[in-house]
Amino acid sequence: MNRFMKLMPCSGRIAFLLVTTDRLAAQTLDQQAADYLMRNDRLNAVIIVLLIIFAALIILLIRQEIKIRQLQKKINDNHE
Amino acid sequence: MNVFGWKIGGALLIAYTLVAGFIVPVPQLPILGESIRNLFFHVPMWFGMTVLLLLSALNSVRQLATGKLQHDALAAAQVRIALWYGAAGLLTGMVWARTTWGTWWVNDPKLLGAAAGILFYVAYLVLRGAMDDPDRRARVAAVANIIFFCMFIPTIFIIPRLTDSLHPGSGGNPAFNVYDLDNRMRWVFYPAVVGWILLGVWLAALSARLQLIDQAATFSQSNNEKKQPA
Repeated sequence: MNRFMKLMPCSGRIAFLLVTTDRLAAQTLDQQAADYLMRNDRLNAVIIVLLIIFAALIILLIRQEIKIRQLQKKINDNHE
Repeated sequence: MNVFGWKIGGALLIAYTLVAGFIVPVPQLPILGESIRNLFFHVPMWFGMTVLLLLSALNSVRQLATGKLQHDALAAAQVRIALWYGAAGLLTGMVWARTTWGTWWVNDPKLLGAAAGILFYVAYLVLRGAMDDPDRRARVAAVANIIFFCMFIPTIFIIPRLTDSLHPGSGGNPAFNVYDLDNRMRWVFYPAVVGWILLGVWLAALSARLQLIDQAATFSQSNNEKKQPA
């Protein structure tokens, strides 16, 4: 550590501290935010909303699939 | 109902990744932080796009071999869905770039290659839409599609590896799976890739079938008009 302090000038030390503390703080904040969301069941609400929207889209697709099948069957019957 | 199996399976895989993608523990890496979860949503878009474009090129080969118009309709539908995936991939990538690189867009070979690749296929759809005769349109579009696929792969996967690039997996910059994609993330990432590919194939099949029904309806309408004297 002493060798590190000798090798690095004062301005370098300040810059190093600024960069590392900023990154560490950002990571800690990220983790805190994630922990907060998980702890308070807030994230569950987001996931449920996403699933509801996705389920609605899939139901819409299945309805389209059934309608297209019926149309194709009608066209085939007309050809025969 | 058994025909629905793989379609519902794909939807369930995506639903699983929507849940697990948010709650699975991820490695806390410098700069990336929680944004590494984007891997579950951004990368499957590009995988899905590439697989759909490969299927589309194969359908174009089948069209040239058999002359059947249904292969052309399927190839065009797969390109359309692939373009939606590409747009989603670009947008999700831009959001991720803003978080990690500090800017929405950089003129990086990988990003420019992706944009150019998307433009190739926009040109394919414009070219295909410019012709009225279905047989001629199918043949010309099939040849263009095969050429564009041969250009797309080097543009998006090979050229960015030959030069310096910020994007992971390019220019000597390691892809995620070398250091960061731990086994917990693999349990979400691979189902996400398979799920989005299956959904894309389903959407493209629906789009192609609608187009064929539309063609059949137009054909029968014109036949009826010919039969009825003016």
